[in-house]
Amino acid sequence: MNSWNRRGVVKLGAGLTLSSLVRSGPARAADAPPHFFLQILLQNGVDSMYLLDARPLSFVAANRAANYAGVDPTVWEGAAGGRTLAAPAAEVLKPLKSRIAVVNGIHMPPGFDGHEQNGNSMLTGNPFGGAYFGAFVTKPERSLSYLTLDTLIGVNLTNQTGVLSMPSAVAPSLASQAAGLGGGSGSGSSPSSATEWSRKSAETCGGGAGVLADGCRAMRAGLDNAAGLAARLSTLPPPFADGDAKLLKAVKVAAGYFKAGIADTCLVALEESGFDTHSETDAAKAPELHATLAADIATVLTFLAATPFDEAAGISMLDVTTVLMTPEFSRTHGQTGKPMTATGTDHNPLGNYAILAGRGIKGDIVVGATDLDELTAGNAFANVSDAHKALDKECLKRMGKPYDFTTGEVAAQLPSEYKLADYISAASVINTVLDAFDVPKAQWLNNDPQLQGGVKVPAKTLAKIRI
Amino acid sequence: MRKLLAGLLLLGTLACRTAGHPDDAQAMESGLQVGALRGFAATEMMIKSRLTLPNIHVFNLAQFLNASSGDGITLLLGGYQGNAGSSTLRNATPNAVNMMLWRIALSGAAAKIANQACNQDAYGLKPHFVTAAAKLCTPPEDPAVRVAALKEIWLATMRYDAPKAEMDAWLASPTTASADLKGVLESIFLDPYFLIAH
Repeated sequence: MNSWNRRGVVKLGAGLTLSSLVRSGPARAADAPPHFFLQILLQNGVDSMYLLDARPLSFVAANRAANYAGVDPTVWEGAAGGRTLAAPAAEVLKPLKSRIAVVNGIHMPPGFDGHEQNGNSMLTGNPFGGAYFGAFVTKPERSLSYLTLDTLIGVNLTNQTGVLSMPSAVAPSLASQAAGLGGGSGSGSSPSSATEWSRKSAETCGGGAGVLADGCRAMRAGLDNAAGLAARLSTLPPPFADGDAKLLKAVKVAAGYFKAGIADTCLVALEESGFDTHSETDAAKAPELHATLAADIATVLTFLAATPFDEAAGISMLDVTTVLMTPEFSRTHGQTGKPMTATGTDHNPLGNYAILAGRGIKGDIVVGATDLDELTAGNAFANVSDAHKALDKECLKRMGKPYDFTTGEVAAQLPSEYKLADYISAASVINTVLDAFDVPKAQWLNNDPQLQGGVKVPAKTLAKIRI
Repeated sequence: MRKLLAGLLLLGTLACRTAGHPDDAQAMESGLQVGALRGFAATEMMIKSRLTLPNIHVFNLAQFLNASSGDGITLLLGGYQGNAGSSTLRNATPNAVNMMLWRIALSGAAAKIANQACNQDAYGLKPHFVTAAAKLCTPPEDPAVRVAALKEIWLATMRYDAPKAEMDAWLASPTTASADLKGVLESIFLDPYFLIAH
């Protein structure tokens, strides 16, 4: 994991200015439009079997995979390349296929099976946590490093300076508080004498070194920027309707904050119960749950595409936002010793997936694939590599196939030995996003956060999905 | 299993801390992060334990945000988010949002306590605080009386969480010299040594 990032340097700086929260509004057509990052973490192990990496029902009959959908998947063909099988739940995404890049077969760092470890990996590249990579794309002049909406479960994000974490539902109340501070006047309230004392004291105690001084400096910057923030917040229209689904509420809040110049990066932590389908009862409900989720995903992408960023220039929010949706891992085909018609599913960090869209991302494309996708005449899995068997002897975890980063194609070989660099990794996906934001390679993530080899080699990006 | 036990221990500790209010809120700080905001729950506990009597309701900080305690907006002032198995401290680094909200909440608390001390028989407030506060309800003619009262109010509220130099600077500040009781309390509540764990 990178031990240095821009946010760490800014934290040591003298202060963050009011102007960083004040933007001039949407860019003129002649200027390059701003670029926002929206990451949606689909927590609790949302299963690709019921989205965009399905298996036919014949696999159930062969007792090789559980699939409670009861209906065969259909082909999802990328006009720009690649194909996969789309579960019935994902049919609702097909009208948006031209805007979506699907990445299948993502390997999370091997040896870690838990929600927190893999959530950490998906956000920081390190199973033990670290700096959230989304902060790397935020412009240094912003005083809000990133925004997290709703409940992140157990992840350890160490770059917390200038971070706002809030339930999406609070957004209207926050705007109301801002208006009450006098933000509605556009200039913010005149600071009280108490606030003046606070600012002066924070400046004094922030003049030294150490964590208390850091806190004082952050407090002084916060007090300096509070009025400007209040002014911005109070201009926001009501962000969402009561009947909006949870994910849409969060994305609407994010879009509003992006447009108002309050944040450049938003991490939405979607937590819906029922996706961690270890029990057979829960697994049987998976098709319905995923159908609702897929519909919500379709709704938010449609919302972003239909919401203007600059109406006069015909630029939508999706045109200026890079969207990354991914769980912390996918799920197994079934459980040891249980028939595939009556089983739950466990965690599968070897076959994770991502849905990307928006600025810098090519649509109508599928890259990567998972194995355990063919049966022999005797109903065994065909073409299972020794590398796979070393990690998953029982062949319950569909695992990403080796990937040729030069050609952008799934590699044909069946490796005898497992090496993470042969596969699409979480770091590959993260670096692809960082590349879309022109983040210097010095901040890209490497596959081995512990640098056991002693040399940092950034994980290769998925050039094929980039425009 | 360890995470579950840790979570239960955390919940139990928080439950004990919020059940009434201890006379000394220092125990609340043992789980806090130095250099970060103490957070909503700890700050409310400090004010209540130092200025109000146990088991008598005078205010809740959340009411000044038009919210109830535990409401989502209180998380923005620093608090734990998650569940029994795993929770994380959020919004504890000062930023424009939490400073905006702290200004609102603490201004409300200061006004409420000042009003209680000066206009409502001081019911629910600690006697030693009331004695000092009463001297500011009507501005004293003798400056020395005012200074002595300010010092007592500082020590009742801040105790020894700030270095003496901070108290001296506050006493000498022009803003303190002209403030009413509400303004005096508000300036102590918004002092970095009051809000930030150290």
